[in-house]
Amino acid sequence: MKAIINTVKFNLLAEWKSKFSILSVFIYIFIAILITFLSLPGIDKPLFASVFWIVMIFTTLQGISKSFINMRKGHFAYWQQIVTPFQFLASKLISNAILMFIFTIFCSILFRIIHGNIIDDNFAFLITALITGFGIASIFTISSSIAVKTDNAGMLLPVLTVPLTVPIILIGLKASKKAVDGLGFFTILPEIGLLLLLSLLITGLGLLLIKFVWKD
Amino acid sequence: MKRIPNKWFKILSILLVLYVLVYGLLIPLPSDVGMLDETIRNLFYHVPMWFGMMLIMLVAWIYSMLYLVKMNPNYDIYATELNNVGIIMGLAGLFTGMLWGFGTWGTPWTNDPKLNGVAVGMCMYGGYWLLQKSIHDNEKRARLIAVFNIFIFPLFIALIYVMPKLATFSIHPGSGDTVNFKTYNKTNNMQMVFYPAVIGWSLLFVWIAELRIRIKKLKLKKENEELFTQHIVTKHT
Repeated sequence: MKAIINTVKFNLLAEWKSKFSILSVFIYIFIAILITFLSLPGIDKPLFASVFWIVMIFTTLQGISKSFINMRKGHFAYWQQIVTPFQFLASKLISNAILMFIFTIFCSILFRIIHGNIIDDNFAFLITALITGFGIASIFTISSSIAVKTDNAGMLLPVLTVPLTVPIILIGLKASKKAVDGLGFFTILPEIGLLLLLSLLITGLGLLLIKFVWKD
Repeated sequence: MKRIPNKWFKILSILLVLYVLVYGLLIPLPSDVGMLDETIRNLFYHVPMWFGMMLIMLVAWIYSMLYLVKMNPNYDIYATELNNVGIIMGLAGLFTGMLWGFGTWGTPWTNDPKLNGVAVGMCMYGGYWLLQKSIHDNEKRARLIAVFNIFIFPLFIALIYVMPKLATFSIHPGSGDTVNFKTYNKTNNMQMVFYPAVIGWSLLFVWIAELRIRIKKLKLKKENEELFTQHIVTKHT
């Protein structure tokens, strides 16, 4: 447990030290939202949730998975000596969930500023976004741990990752459409339950199987 | 004449597929098939593809798990080749479905949960196929694709089977609020072709997989023998 906390601390510190890469993700999100605004000024309610999720997936993909992709062979040898694969993946999942939390909040605030006040139920929308973001972050982490072991990780990563996120995105989209229309917090509870179940299932499966992916 | 291994299921598959191809076109239809008309015969060619694909991929999924437990290289070959054949079956099912859709709906592709789920699922298996081509070390590739397969199969089933059932609106027969083929089938004579079709097409594709598995096993054996002779030569010189 202590090893997990220490590794999470280390991961976050490494992100903080390379501020430019985090900053590049923020700028990437900003540009993407600006493009959606320039191409769809006066966006309407049904479109809003879809555009939000498209921007979210494609901007955070690099930000979340770069911690794995940037690891070289020597790094793996180092980590293999000091932590077990379970601890390593758990720490990566936690630190990526924290990163995704920050990205999601930034993205929704920027959407609110640029596109104006479209969402009827801001609280429900944010809750949905955060829980869906948690699911997406766990899928990104697990599939990038597989992709990093291949010969060209950069090419293969989106192909392996993005299709796996679709079930989660579809449920999140349904819930956030309800939130945008302001149907009330209680109408999105079944979707939130399903999302939590699916993300916990995927996380559990990943933690169970990481030891087969891990060794070289 | 050389002996053909496991000959009974190959003969059975040929007989069943021939029976389905011929009798599927001749069989008298139930009188009240509605707007489907003669296109309901696609039940014998399109639906068996999906049924067979799900069965074959389920077996591949079980072999993937067995591989991770037992680490037997043969299980990896079974899982990979069964999945590859499953992908071919899925594509065949997709194209027969598009042909049917062109006749019945007037367009090969519509915004329907079942169709979209299949598109995403095929992308997942495309990733699976790319993954197995992009790693050159045998043992590592076997481990990684086994793990990836364990992830994608439940998601695939959720996408093509569970989500369309839950959807409120779907124009694909058998999902959402659209009726099933069973609704029309009062006289039960379509099932006399449908079940043989499922068995026959599945066996045909298992045959293809079996051939590929045998080729791969021979290749693996040859590789190992070469490595072994190299080892002997280096040891004695």
